[in-house]
Amino acid sequence: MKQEELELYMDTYGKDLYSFCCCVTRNRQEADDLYQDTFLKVYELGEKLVIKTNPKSYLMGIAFNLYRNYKRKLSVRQRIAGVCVSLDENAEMIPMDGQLTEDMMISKEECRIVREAVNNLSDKYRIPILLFYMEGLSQADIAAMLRISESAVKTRVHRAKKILREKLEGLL
Amino acid sequence: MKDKLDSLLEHALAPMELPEKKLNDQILRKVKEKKDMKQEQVYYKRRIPAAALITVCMLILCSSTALAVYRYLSPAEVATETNDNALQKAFLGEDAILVNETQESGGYKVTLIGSVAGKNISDFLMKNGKGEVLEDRIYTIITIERADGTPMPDTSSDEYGEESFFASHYIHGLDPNVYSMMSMNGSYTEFVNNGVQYRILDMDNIEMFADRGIYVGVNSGTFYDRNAYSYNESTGEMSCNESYTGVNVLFQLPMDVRKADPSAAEAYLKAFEESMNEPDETPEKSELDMQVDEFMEMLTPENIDEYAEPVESTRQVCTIDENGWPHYSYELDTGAAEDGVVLSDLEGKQPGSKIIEGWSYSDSGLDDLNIDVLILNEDGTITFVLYQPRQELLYPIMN
Repeated sequence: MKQEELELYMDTYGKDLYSFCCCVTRNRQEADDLYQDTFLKVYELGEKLVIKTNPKSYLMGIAFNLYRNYKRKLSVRQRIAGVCVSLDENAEMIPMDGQLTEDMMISKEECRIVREAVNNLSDKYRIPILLFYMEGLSQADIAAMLRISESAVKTRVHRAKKILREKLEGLL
Repeated sequence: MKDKLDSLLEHALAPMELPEKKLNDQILRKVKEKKDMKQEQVYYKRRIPAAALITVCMLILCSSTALAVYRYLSPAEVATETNDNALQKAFLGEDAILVNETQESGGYKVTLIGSVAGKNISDFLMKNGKGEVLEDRIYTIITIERADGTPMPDTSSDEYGEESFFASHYIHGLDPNVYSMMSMNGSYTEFVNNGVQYRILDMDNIEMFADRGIYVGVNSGTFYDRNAYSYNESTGEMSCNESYTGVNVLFQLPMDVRKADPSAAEAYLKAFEESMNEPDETPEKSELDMQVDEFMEMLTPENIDEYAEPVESTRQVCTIDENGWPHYSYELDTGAAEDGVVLSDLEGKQPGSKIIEGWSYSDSGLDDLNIDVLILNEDGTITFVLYQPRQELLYPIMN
């Protein structure tokens, strides 16, 4: 992959990818690392191939796998070395200041409540919700990325929505 | 059908976090450094020689200092383990620096064992990207072990590499994010002995900067991590970031200041700056790569039908996805399916124009070359069709 291609992907999908990294890690420092590692991996993998599948789905897939590996390594490290690093406990919460404007349907406060509710979901439900609603990926893409069936994606999204519906009752 | 919760989620979760420009710049710089760095990793299995065991037994009886020596192989022994006789001799010479200082961080103990620098002091010299032999080098030995005493995984085990570390020399007053093993022709050799991981770092000889101060740092991960350290641009001081989660240690390498050579240092930095600004070299290509390159160079939108044929089952008018990208998807008889978006800018193109959007291939080169072609239609829509090389033309090219 040429550097110019990498720059093109950064320009085109940087915001999508970085938002995803922020949400899955819930920590700005970890999000920076995940975002950086994703592009470095893309570069490493893509030296020979021209990416022709949905590039966004490809990027998210790499980010998700790196995140999963990171979590796995973290739990190994916790077991072996007793390092108490919890993504939740030590996390620097990312301020969700967005570019929401007054003409949008929902207020910033409502956004914060919704994001917090999504953040509190377990990864099993949180990741499909983020990929579906934040990144706009198809259920087939999500299924391929998470290596589960499409019906399992549907079930997870459905169950996540059920949990969210209860938590966000006041907004609905 | 969308309900209110769907809309709420779509609005609330809309991507709104932008990466900082310096983060993107850092990635691009690392990509360039990664390309430049010719990292060689050699893995060895440790066999403890009987003579060493006798030495060890004697040392245990002697003193606590000797105990420290027993715990780690001496620099010369480390060099011997890597079959590097020249380096072994260098570590036994009077110019070698012996340190044996340990720091603990993130559940690991890191020890700076020692260092030596000079011209042609190793049996294994590297070449840089231009084919020049790098003779003048600094070699520093560190060890990494788990603080709880559990052994580090052997280089032959599956666990090896799960926890990665980046180790490098740094120079006081030079930004560690720019000046490190990654950019200064670095490499390392690594092996595990008695549960302790040994690493010999080598990079361009930086003794000329001895008057400034030399650091040796180790952080978690495979790159320099700016979160692991703080670098004070005004004083040139580097320090460990206390809040960093992971391994981050920093040693001062006690180098003889008489080795400093400010004019050589200035010349080195000038050459370094120039090399960083050089255009990227084209990576070495395989024969298959070159065949594809040759074929694609010959191909133009005007002559594509002469050398390649469309796969009609893939012909389609692109639909516009929710992000405004022209979208296409197809499935070949082989079962290969693709789902992509058009990235080319078609503005200013005449209706009927063909554009070669891109191509891809795998290990079979021309045999499975797929060429994405776009055709701008009169009504402004875009037709996508996949082309493959004409089989009857392949053999003359491949032979």
